[in-house]
This record gives sequence, structure tokens and C-alpha cells, in this order.
Amino acid sequence: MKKMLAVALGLTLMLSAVGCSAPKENTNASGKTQISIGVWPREKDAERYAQYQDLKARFEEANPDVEIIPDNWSFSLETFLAKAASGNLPTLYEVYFTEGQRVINAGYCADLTEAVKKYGYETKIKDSIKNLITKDGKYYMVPQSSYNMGLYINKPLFTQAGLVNEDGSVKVPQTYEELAEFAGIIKEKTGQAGICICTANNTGGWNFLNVAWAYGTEFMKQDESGKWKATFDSPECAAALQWIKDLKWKYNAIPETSFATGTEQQKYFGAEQAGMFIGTPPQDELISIYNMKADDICIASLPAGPAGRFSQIGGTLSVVKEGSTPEQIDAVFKWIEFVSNSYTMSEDAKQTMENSYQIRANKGLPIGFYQYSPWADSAEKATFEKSIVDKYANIPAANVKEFNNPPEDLKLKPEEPVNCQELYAALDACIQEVITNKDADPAVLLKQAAADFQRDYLDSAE
Amino acid sequence: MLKKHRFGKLKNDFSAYILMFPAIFLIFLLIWRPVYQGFILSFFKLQGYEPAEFVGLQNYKDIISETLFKTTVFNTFKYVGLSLLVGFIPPIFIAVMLNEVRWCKGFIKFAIYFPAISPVIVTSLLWTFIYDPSAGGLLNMILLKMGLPAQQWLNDANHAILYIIISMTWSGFGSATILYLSSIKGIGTDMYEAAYIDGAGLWARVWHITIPQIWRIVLLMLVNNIIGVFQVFAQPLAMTGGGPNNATVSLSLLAYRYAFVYLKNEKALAIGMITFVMLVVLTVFYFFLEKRVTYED
Amino acid sequence: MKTKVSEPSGMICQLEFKTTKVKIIHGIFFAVMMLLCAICLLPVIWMFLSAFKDTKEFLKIPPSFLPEKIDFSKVVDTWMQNNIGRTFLNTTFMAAGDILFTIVSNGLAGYVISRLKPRGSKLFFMLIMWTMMLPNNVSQVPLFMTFTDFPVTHWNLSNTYLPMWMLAGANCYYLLLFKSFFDSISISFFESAKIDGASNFKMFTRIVLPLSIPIMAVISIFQFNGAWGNYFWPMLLINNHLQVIGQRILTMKGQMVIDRYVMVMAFVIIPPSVIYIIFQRHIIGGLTLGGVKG
Repeated sequence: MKKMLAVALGLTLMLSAVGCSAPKENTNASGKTQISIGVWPREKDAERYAQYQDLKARFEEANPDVEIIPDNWSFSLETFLAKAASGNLPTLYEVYFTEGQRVINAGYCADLTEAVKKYGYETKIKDSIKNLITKDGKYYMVPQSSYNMGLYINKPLFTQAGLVNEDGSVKVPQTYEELAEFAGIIKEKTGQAGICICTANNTGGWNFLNVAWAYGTEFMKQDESGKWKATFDSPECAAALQWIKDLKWKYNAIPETSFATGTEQQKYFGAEQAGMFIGTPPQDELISIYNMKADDICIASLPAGPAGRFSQIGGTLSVVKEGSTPEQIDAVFKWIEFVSNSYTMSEDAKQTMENSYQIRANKGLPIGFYQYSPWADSAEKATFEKSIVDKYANIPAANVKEFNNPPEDLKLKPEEPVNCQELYAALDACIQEVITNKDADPAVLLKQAAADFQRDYLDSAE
Repeated sequence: MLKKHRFGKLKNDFSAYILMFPAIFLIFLLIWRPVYQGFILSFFKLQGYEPAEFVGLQNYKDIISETLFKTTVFNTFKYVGLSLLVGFIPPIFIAVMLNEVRWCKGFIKFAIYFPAISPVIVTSLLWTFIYDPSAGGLLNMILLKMGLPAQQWLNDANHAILYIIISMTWSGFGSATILYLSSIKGIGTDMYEAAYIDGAGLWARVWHITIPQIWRIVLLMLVNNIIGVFQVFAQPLAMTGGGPNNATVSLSLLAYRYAFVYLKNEKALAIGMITFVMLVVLTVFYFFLEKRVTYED
Repeated sequence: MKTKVSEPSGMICQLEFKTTKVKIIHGIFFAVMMLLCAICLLPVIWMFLSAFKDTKEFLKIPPSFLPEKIDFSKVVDTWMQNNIGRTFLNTTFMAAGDILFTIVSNGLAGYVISRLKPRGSKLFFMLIMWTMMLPNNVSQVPLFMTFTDFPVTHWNLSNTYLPMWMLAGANCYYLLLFKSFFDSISISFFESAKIDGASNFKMFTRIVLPLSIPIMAVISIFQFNGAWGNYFWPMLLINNHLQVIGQRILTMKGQMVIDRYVMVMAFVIIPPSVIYIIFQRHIIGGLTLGGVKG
């Protein structure tokens, strides 16, 4: 009977027990502040692992009160929630620009406002990026690295299609119209797809933003009361969608599949089955997986549309786990400075940056394009990075001339401010429809998508 | 004497429950309790996984008013309907035919169950190669060789669900066929012989002897089939991600999206509960059928 | 496959089989069956062959059926580079635990409900029948919370196989299979043991266990196959060196060239195929063991 009672008691307890895990230790026996750092290289990746172990040793020597705990975890959609809900995120972890607002809304990051001010970042972070990392005036993240999207051009295919200048360099399309024509020429001359655009798993919308902006689309607007209105039910956006539709039905210049993501872009491009794609550098996989020659990769600025030339900014953000102590946050910022992820350039930071490029060069990973900087006043850092890039470049300068010296009119823009993933999903659906249904009407599709997006997400947002 | 017996029974019962404890414990902990919790949490706005604010039926209202939800319910029923046509009926006739075949029976049984042993993830990905819409796809290669035009397969919003169902049937029809086959075997040859002597043709024998004999299993399989397909998830996730233009999103896939992509668990829970209610209706139907069949026996 | 020509068990009688018309019908049936066999086996064979193609050949249009050359160094290479051995070991370990849990938990419960029938077990059985109809996705989120913050003890079970093992122990379908198996054991065994005054537990170990070896074998095989394809909970809960093959096959997709990926897919289906070929008769017999009583 006693046993029965114990069992019954146990069962009731289980029913009533809710969350509230025990607080985690964040200082060890010797009183050091412990911080775990995510995206730590794995031992298999010998060179980078050695670099990071060395960084750790030097950092701990310079900051005797801090202990670094390496953590291999890097962001992925499937595992993020598992880590977050169980309190197992590293103290410092990285998310992509596209995830920033989602993570903030879900509440898995610490308020960094104080540290951001203390370390003087507030005035240094570019205004265009602030939207991504703040909510209600508070900072929850700091930019780590960033890049802007460019047009990848497959040199062998362009050469085969005769799209080259007299000096042998590839002809770069300057407008989306021209891009579509080039794509058509490639299809005609080589039989391969002219361009691989993303169409699935929310990457379709993410790619499409660049085109839509260039055609003059405004996706959403905030009114005086702070409410958001979906405004992409517009002729401009329809024209951009029509551009994709033409790629498929007029030029027959995209691969057959309607489920393309970044992976497929690399696959087709790497196998010389697509002449172009819109992507973010560095695209290491083109070389590491698809064995492309660096000489064959060209990167240009995205073309212009009727409303100008736009390129979306992407990158990674540094996030500190929710519930971290002020000491931990401070230690994290010291680490960020130490590994050259800040706007300043200490000797340590310079050393780290050069080492990183050296390792990339040894592996043959693409180097040669200049990264977009998230920091407003970063002359010193930018100049230094450019000199390092030039020193280790393996992509010929001619191939990236257009990307590194972008046309005057190029405007860099971060993704849309609210419900971006949901917007991407809605756009994905429209894109899939126009490339699978010859009779689809872009204007009608967008009207429906905008209305649904408004009602399902913008109206129900807090 | 009587008292002692009763005590013995009690003791026996107790030890029986001890033996059953692991199962009761695990089923309680991993099936019943989560369902109960999910039900409660679906009335809250959640911050991550923690209830933040009681909102009553708001999550349900939000979900039901979404256009995508309507599409999804429609899709889910389309999955079920097509699976009944394409996946449910053929195994019955295949089993009837296989029962007559006198050569290589062992090999045939081996082959038709073979697809079922490979993991769903591998099968789904394998079928994306088969359905590749370019000329490099396995099916298109065959079509082109036969001089027929290549098809768009999963790109075709109107038929994508059908193609997913075909791939599911490929993995599943073997076990259904073998179940029917063993049931048909139980009929014995006497009845057929008698029918033959009475001059019944083959079709008449199938219709009047075979089908009535396996009817009970057919009904059970019908309900199992509906309940299984109602929860279709891995195949659209791996093959289409729900596209094109949301033509293949199922209820389970939508719930997954809300939980793991948009980090909006309350909506995922609401979808789960709605699916649950729909299935309860089907379950009641199942017991009703079972009772009737048992009664008729 | 004991004899080439199976015993006639169908509706076509021996006498009738002599007529041409019926012979043609039989021929058609046989042709349909052969076509089905081809449909079932060809995609898998194609996958194995394609795994040997290199990237360019794999993506070539029109595609080839046979690879240009068979290069076994690629097999070794792909295996080593992706650490498949370790992953297979992990998966086997997880599967072993699954099997243990499913047999102990569901087997015992099936036995109790079938044979001992303590008061209230009928109600429990009814509940289990209902439970089988529950959709999986209702409990996803709370279940996730259960695993990452275990009730009472606050254990975090991520990066262990315990969640998968426990789920295997709560498999109502196998419980039912066990129950109907025990239902079919002749009652006299139990009667004679009862007269000898054996306790419930003794009766289980002395009589029930030896008798139930066939069903345990069959369920072990099914459970192994289930574990081999299990990706959902491992994907959510395991993100260190303990990863199993089901989740890795999903995450590897974007990380390697297509032909190598297909080779990994081929690796994945080899162990279940081998088991199937060896235990074919048990498996096919097991399918009808009592899942549905005719």
C-alpha cells in the first residue's frame, strides 16, 4: 500500500510540476566568470581549432578572471529551439540577420543595452542594421560579420555563350532586363539554365527582395499609430514577379525544379548547369564541395531596376544567452573585441583577422571580395581588411572588380523589419506559382498574398 | 477461505500492476500527459514554452481565420481521399492476384515488401530524384525514351499531392498486400471449389467469396489508413516543403512550421488540438465500424 | 520459397487451371506481379548504381543508367569522410535500447492484459486502443518540454538516447501485438503452472518468456528498422557526437555533393536490407502476427 501511495504521489507531482529549472552555475570554484562560446571549430578542422585554442589561451592570460568554454554548436532552425528551451545555448552564440527578430521575440537573448553603450557601439553600429538588433529601444544583439548580396557569374558558361568582353572578362548585366536576356542567351547557346533563383523554404522571398526593391516595391509601412500595413500589392512588385515569370516562360532560363534553395544554387552553379545566381559571399561550398576553380567564379553587383540598384545586407549577429550575468556579458564583449568582431582594431584583433584569412587561403576557400562592414566609422578596420584580402586573394581581381567597386547608385538595405520569415513564405508561394503555372497573374497573386499576410501576421502582431 | 482467496486475488492484482508499471508510466508520461498539457497551453499566449497570458480561444480563432489553414485542411483531406483511391484499394486486388500466382511467390512477396524496410526519409528523397522535373529525372527519362513529353511532377500544384501519395503507396502497399494475402489464405480452397462446380466465374468468386471474407480486415485497414495519412508529415517536408504555392502543406507540416520555424508554439498547439478533434471523430467511427463488424460476425 | 511452384491456395482450382483462358489470366496476373516487383526494386537498384557516378555524370542530361566506372575507393572515401561508422554505431546502440525498452515495457503489459487480467486492466486496454488514434503532433511541444526539463527531477535529457528509448517503451501498437500473441498461447500451459503455485513473475520467466521468443524476435526486427529511420526526436534533441543516421541524412543534404549523398543514402539502406534478406520469413510472417486479427 505504501508503494501505491508513493506511486500515486509521484504521479500527482508530475502533473503539477511546471518549468522552473534550477539556476545554472556561472562562476566556477575559483570565482572565475565562465562563458561558453558557440561556433567553436571542431577538432577535425585542425587549423581553425588550433587558432581558437590559441586565442583562448591568450585571452585567458589577458583576462585572468574569465574562463572560456568552447561549444561547437552553431545555429540551425531545427536545433535552436531545443537548445534554447532547455537553457543549453552557449553564452555567446551567433544567428543570421534573418533570424534576429525571431530570436528577440521568442525571448532567448539577454538585454545588451548597457554593454553596448559602455563599449561605445551605440554610435558605431550603422543605422541600417539597428532595426535588426533592437526592440523597443533596447539592444539584444551586436553585429558580428556582414556581407551584401551579389550576382555570381559562372565564367565558363558565360564564355561558352559568348558573353565576354574583348579582354576576356565576363559581360556583367547592368539591369534586370539585361540579366534576363543574358540568361536566355546562355540557355540558347549552352543548353544550361541562365540563372538559378531561390524558390523554396523561404529563400525564394529572401532572394526576391533585391529584385522587388529594384522595381520600386515597398513591402510594408508603419502608420502613425505604429501599425504595420502590407503594401506589396503594387504594380511595382507585380513587375518584379513578372520578371521571374519571364525568366521561366519567356526565356526558359531557370532550372526545372521549383524547389530551389541556396543548396541547389550551389549545385547547379558548381556543376556548370546555371550561369548566375543571386547570393551572399563567401559561398565556400562552390570550392570545398563542388571543386570549382576560383578563377571561374565572378562576382558582380546586383543589376539595377527601374527604381534603382539594391543589395540586401546579410550576416551574423552575436547574441548572449538570456539570463546571463552582467559579468558574463562584459566578458563576452571583451572576447568580441579580442577576436576582431568589433569596430576597433587592436593588435590582437589584427592578428586574429590575418590568421583567419591565412587559414582560408591554405584551404583554397574563396578570398578576393570585400566584405560589407556593419560599423559606421570603420575606416581603419576596413582598410586593414582590404589589405589582407588583397594579400591572400585567390579569385582574380578582374573577376570581382564589379563587386569590390560597386556602381555609385548601389543602395544597401537590410531585410524587412517585421514578420520577415512569414513574408518570405508568402512570396515563395507566389514565386512557385508563377514558375509552375504559365497562366498565373502576378498582380492577382500578390493581392491575395498581401491580404493574407496583413490579416494573418501584421494584424495579429502585438 | 473466501477471505484468503480475496486477499490472494488482491496480491495477484498488485503484482500484475507492478509488471505493467513501466508501460503505464511511460504511456502516461509520454502520451497522455503531453496531450493534456498541450490542451491547456493552447489557451495561452506563450513566451517560448512558458505560458505568458491566458487568451481563451484566441489561438484557435487566429488559426481558423487564416487562408492557409483552410488550404491545409483541404489538402489534408485531399491526401486522405487520394490515398484511399491510390493506396488503399490496389493492395486488395494485388493480394487476390498474388494468391493465384503459382510461380516465384516467395520472390514476389520479398520484392513488394522491400520498399517498406528503407527509412521514410531515404524513400522520400529517393522519390525526389524519381520525380525530378528536368530531363534527368528517372520518370522523365523513361517518358522521353517512350517518346512521351516530360512531366512537371511535384512542380504541378494540381497533382503534387497525388504524386506524394504514389510515393507513399510505393513504401506502404507491400505490408497491406501481405496482410490481405494471409487473410485470403485462411479462406481455403473448398469454398472456391464448390463455387467453381456451381459455375461461378473468377470475378464472381472474388466478389462473393473473397471480399466478404476479408471485409473485416479491409475495414480496419481503411480506418488505419485514414488516420495514418491524416498525419502525413515527413513526405511533404522532405519532398516539397509544402509547395508549390502551399499545394502540399498538411496539418502536421503547418504545426511543425509554427513550432519550429516561426517559433509560435501556441498556434502549433491549436492546430494539433484541431487535428486531434478531427481524429476523435474518425476514431468514434472506427469503434462504430468495429462493433458492427463484430456484431455481424 | 521452399518450392518453386507454390501449393495452390487460391480460387483457381486445379482442374480449371488446365484451360487456356485461365492460363492466360494466370499469365496476366504473373506479368502484373513481375511489373510490381520491378517498380519496387528498380529505384533502389538505380540508387546504388548512381552512387558510383561522379558529380558531372550524376547530373548529366540525359542521365545514364549504368555508371561509367565502378570506383570502390569512393565508397571507402565517403564512408570515412562522413564518419558513417561512428554514426552507424550510435544508431545501433540507440536501436538496442529501443528494443530493450519496447520488449520489457510493452511485452510485460501485453502479458498482464492478456493473461493476468487484474481488475481495471480492461479499462486500461480501452484507453490504449484510443491512444493509438492520437495524432503525433498534438504532443510534440509538451513532449519536448518533458524531455528537456524532466518532471520532478528537472533532468535535461537532450543529447542522450533516453527520450527515444522511453518513447519505444510507450508503443501501444507493439503492446497490442504482444497481447494478441499471448492471447493465442494455449491456456493449458498457464493452468498447469498455476496449480504448481507459481507466482506471476515466475510464470512469466519460466513459461511466457521461452514461448514468446518468436514474437520478441519479430518485434526486435521491426523496432530496429524503426530506430534506423528515426529522425524527428534525434534531430531535435541530439546535437553532439551522438547523432544517429536518420537525422544526419537530413542535415547532410546541403553539405555534400549529390552523388556522394546518394552513396550515403545507399549506405543507410544496407543494414535494414541485410536484416530483411536474412529474416525475410520472420518479418513477413510477423506482419500478420496479430496486428489485425482476421
